[in-house]
Parts: sequence; C-alpha cells; structure tokens
Amino acid sequence: MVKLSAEAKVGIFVLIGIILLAYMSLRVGGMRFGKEEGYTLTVKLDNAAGLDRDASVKVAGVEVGRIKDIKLQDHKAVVVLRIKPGVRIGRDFTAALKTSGLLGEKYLELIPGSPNAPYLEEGEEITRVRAYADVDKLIADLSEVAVDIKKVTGSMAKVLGGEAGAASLSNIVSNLEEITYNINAVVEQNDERLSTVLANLEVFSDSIKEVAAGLNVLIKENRDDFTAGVTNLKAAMETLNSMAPEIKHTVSSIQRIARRIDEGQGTIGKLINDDTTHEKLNRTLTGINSFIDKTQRFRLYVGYRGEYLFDADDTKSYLSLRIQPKADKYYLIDIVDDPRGNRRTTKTEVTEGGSTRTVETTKTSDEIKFSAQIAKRFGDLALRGGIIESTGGLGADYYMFKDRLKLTLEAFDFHKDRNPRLKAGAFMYLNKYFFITAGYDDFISDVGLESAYVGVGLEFEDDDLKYLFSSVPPISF
Amino acid sequence: MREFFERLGLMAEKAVVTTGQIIIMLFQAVYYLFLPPFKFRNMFKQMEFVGVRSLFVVVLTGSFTGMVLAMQGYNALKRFGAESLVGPTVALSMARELGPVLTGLMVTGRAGSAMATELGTMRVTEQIDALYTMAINPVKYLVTPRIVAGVLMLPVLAIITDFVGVLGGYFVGVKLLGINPGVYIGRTIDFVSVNDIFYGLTKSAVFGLIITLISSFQGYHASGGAEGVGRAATSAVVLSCVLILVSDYFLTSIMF
Repeated sequence: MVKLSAEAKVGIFVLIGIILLAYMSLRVGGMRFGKEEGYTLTVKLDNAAGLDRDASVKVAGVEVGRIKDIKLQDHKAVVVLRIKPGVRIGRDFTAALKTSGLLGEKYLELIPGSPNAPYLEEGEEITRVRAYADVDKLIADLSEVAVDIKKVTGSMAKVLGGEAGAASLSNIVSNLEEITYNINAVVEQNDERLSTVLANLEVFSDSIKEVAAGLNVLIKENRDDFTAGVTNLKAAMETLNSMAPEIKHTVSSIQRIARRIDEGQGTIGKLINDDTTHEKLNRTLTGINSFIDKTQRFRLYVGYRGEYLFDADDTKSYLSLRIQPKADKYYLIDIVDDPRGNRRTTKTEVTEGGSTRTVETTKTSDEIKFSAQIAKRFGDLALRGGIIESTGGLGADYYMFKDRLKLTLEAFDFHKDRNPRLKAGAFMYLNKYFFITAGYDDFISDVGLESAYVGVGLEFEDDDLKYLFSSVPPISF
Repeated sequence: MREFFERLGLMAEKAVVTTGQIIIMLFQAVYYLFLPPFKFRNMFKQMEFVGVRSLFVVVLTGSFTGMVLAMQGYNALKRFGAESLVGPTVALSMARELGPVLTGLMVTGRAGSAMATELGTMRVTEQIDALYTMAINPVKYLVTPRIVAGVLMLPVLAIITDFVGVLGGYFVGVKLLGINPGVYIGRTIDFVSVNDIFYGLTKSAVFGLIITLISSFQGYHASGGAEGVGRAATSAVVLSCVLILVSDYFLTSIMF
C-alpha cells in the first residue's frame, strides 16, 4: 500500500465531507433548494393562527405546494400559496385550515369541487373557504349558549319568584283543580251519550281506515302514472301556452282565407264553388288511378343463369326476361346460348358396290336459340307453353317452401323419329336475387346427349325497363 | 480583607490580560496567515492531525449518539403515537447541536490536549525561544497552521458526524424499532431544512477556532517544566470545552 501524503489524506477527507454535505442538503432541501417553480394563488382566511410560512398545501392529503407568505389585509389573513407546476386547482376548490393529528402542525387542505370546473391561473384567489370549528370557537359558542340559558332561568325566577309569584302559582293550581272537577261532572252526566258517540266514531274510523287503505293501494299502484300524467299535462299546458299567440294568429288567417274561398274569390274559391271542375277532376283522378294500379301491379324481371353440363363439359347460358302483369300470369322470353346447338342427325342409306350402309351426318345449327312462353300459375303449380329453345314445347313448374324451391319439367323439340327433349331440374332461391339450379337435361335422349347439370343464376326486378314498357301505349296489359 | 480584594483584583486582571493575550494571538495568527512565505506543508500536516486522525473517534461517537437519540426519542414519542417524529428528532438534534458540539469536544480531547502538550513542551524546552532566535516567527510557524486546520477541518468532521448520526438513528429506528422507513425519511426531510445543517457547520467552524486557539495559547504560554506542560494541557481541554458549550448557547440564540 502506498503511503498517502498528508495533503492527499486531507483532500480525500474534505471530499467526503463535501459529498455528504451536498447529499444531505439536496435531500433535505427538496424543491425549495434552487429556483421557485410553479404558480401562486391566494386565499383569504378569517383566522390563520398556527399556519406558518412553508407549511404544506395539500389536495387529498398529497402535498401540492407550500405557503409562500401570510399577510394581513382588511382584518383578514391573506395567504399566498405556491403550487407546484403541473398541479391544476379548479375554480370551485374549497380551502380549509386543518391540523395533522391532534397536536400536529397546521396545513391548508384544498378540497376539490367538480372535475369540469375551469382552472385557476397565476395570482388568482380561491374564493371558497370552509371555517373549521376549532376548540376556541367551540368554547365561544358554548359560552353563548350558557348565557342564553341563564337568561331563561332568570326570567323564570322573576315570574315565579317572590310572594306574588307564589300566590299566582297557587291560584293557577286551584283553577286547574276546578276545571278538572267540572270536566268530571260533564263526563259523568253524558256518560251514555259519550259512549254512543265513541262507538259511532269507532265504526266511522274503521270505515275510514278501509277507504284509506283502498285509496292508498290505488295511489300506490298508480303513483308513477299520476306523476307521469301530471308531468305530461304540465308540459303540454306549457307548450300550448307558448303556442297560444301563434295559434290565435293562424286561426284568424285561416278564417280570413276560408271566408274568401267561401265567397268564391281567387282560383281555389272558384274551383270549389264550381261543380263542373269537381267532376272533371274526379274523372281524371280515376283514370290516373287505374293507370298507376296497372303499372304498379306490373312487374318485370331480368335474369341470367348459366348451367354447366357435365357430359358436354360446357356451359349453357340463359338471358331471360319475365314480364308479370299479374301475380298468376307471366310471359317468359329467353335468349339461350347452347354450346351443343341444335344437333340434327340425318341417316342416309348409301348403296355402294352391292352393299348398303347407313351414313349418319350430324349438323349443328345456330347456337343462339330463343324461347318465348306464356305461363299461368295455379296455386303452387305453374303451367307454361310456347317456344322453348326455338322449338315448340311446354313445361310445368312446381313451387315449394314459399317459392324458395322450384321443381321444373319441360319438354320440347318434338320430332317424329326420335324422342323429344325432356329436361328436369330444381331451382333453389338463396335470396331475393340469387339461385342455384341442378337437374338432368335430355334424359330420354336417344342420341347420347343426356347430361346432368348444375348452374347458378340471378334474377332481379328492373324498374327502369318496366317504365319503359309501361309508357309505350301498345303494350297495355 | 485587603488580601481578599487583592486576590480578586488579581484574578480579574489575570482574566482580562489572558483574554487580551488570546485575542492578540488570534490577530497575529490571522495576520501572519496572509503574510508570505506560506508554509502549506505545515498546514496540511496539522489538518491531517486534526481532521483525518479524528475521523474514527468522531464516526464512533456520532453514530452511537444518533442511535441513542433514536431509542430515547422513540420511547418518549411513542406515548403520543408520534413515532414518525423520531427521524426529525435525531436529524435536527444532530445537525443543529450534537454534530458540532460532539465533534468539538472530541477534537478537544484528542487534538487540543495534544497541541497544548506539544507547544508547552516546546516552550519549556525553550524550542520556541530557539525558533525566535532563528528569526522564525513562532506564532506564524506554530499557531497559524493549527488555527487554519481547526477552522477548516471541524465543519468537515461535523458533517460526517451529522451523517453517521442520522444513519445510526435510521438503523435503530427502522431496523430495530420498526418505524416505517418511508415515514422516517419523509418526515426527516419535511422537518429539517438546509439552514439547519449550515448553521451547524458555522458553529463547528467557530468551535474549531476556539479549540485550536485556546490549546495553542495554553501551550504557548506554559511555564514550570513538565508539571506546567500538564497543567497547560488540562486547562486547554477544560477551557476549550467550557467555551464551546457557552459559545454554543450564544451562537444558537443568534442563529435560530
């Protein structure tokens, strides 16, 4: 170990001392060590006894500042508070002088008001102050009470004390005696009558009790209604009251207008007083009504559906227009794009070199086909007929589950040397617009065109198209 | 009778003369402090002797004083349910009174007596006269460094005493007696102000001056061989202690 010189030892020693001093000063000094922070507020107290400079200012028991100064102004103690920055004191805070513990120091408690109150700014005053009953005040109050009691006893002594008082007291007593004697006599004389009266009273009180009970129940049951009713009435009356001048004014205006109309003045007056106008108007309105009715009943749906044919590995599309003038009658117009078209197979017998063989030629016609059908619905069953896929045909639909499901069967493309084309399927409506479909097409085909299919589609009511149709005169349903 | 008055008069005269001599010595010491050549080496030696070497004894007394204060304070304050005031009691007593006074007394016992003995021996063995003949001012060479060391080192010792005292009080109050540590520290900080500490340090500087000045004076003016040296040491310690306690009262009445 190196031997330290005297200077080094002293230096270390002094350094330790300075560090300890700085540490203790900073801990003890707290916020008062250094510059003053925060903002100041003032409070006027009637009595600031026991409150010292640097005493705590607390909110909910937490120190938020210190007392900076206490001055006398107009016989009141004006206390200047220094509040820490970041602590907001509301305008409705109440200042109260309090003591920590029984013998502790005094401090100023600020009791918060409503949370929405605006905050106090630098230099403003906390106006609400709560006076606390300290021991001095308590004693003062008690001594006042004692004085009052003394006064009372004194006047009693004056009235009752002395010979005159005693005489009047004995007078009073003898009067009382006489009165009781008289009452006694009266009671004795009227004993019977009194008892009847009492009996009557008893009966009476019983019935009153019953009535009261009934009333009570009634009131209890309807208390809310009563209150509500009264409140409503009040509100209504108030509204009416406030409206009264306007109503008056309106009524007089109406009166004036009515008089003029009655006299046949102005257009309306003439109209009303002339019968021919009325009839014309009536007829016109009837006409308009029937037209609107028809237009309204008339519905027009536009739809599209695609069916995927498993065997053909292709999709068949329908673009359809359903015109429905009445609920049980509609017209169907479809444009069908059939990938297989209209296949016509013709057999030709060819004789070649003595042997005869049959040659089959298949011809596919235009793929776009049309359907146009009329349909009529009988309850859940709808029958339709017309042109189906560019050939004559007919079909039947059966609706189930409130029209959510539709079973359909149609037959078309009748031909003399082969089976007609039959198609059976089901439609399920997912919602107002969308549906899915599945079925079996051409299931009695003798040329191998039978195919199962699935498809999806949509159908919606088109108002624009509908009005286009309805405004064209020739199409009148 | 006349003898009595003569004795009284002599005592008074001696007291006044002694006071005057002490004050003259103080002025000389301060005057030579600012007069070159400066002997820092000598000064540091004294500072080490007064300050650093007293550290152990001061820490010991300080910590035990704080501990006993906490224990006594606790017993007294418990009756009022004010155990939380033990912290402030210990801290305030240490900072204001006990830190400076105890330090002063301990340094008197340790360093003051040594100074008086050292200077007294030098006086009776005529070393001081030898210095004089060598044209070395004995006050500047012997007294000034001691006074500087006392005035500078006593506050440092006092702050250490304060700190270990509070620490000792905390140990007893919180660890042994079970006062809430947060309350203990919080109340201490609430009650003690920075001024309490600084006034205590000012006092201790004054005590440092008193100790070194009185001890040096007693040693410087010792006479009568080995016995005189012993007398000087005794009177240095007694006078220093008495003056510390008396001046403590007056300083307190001025400061607080």
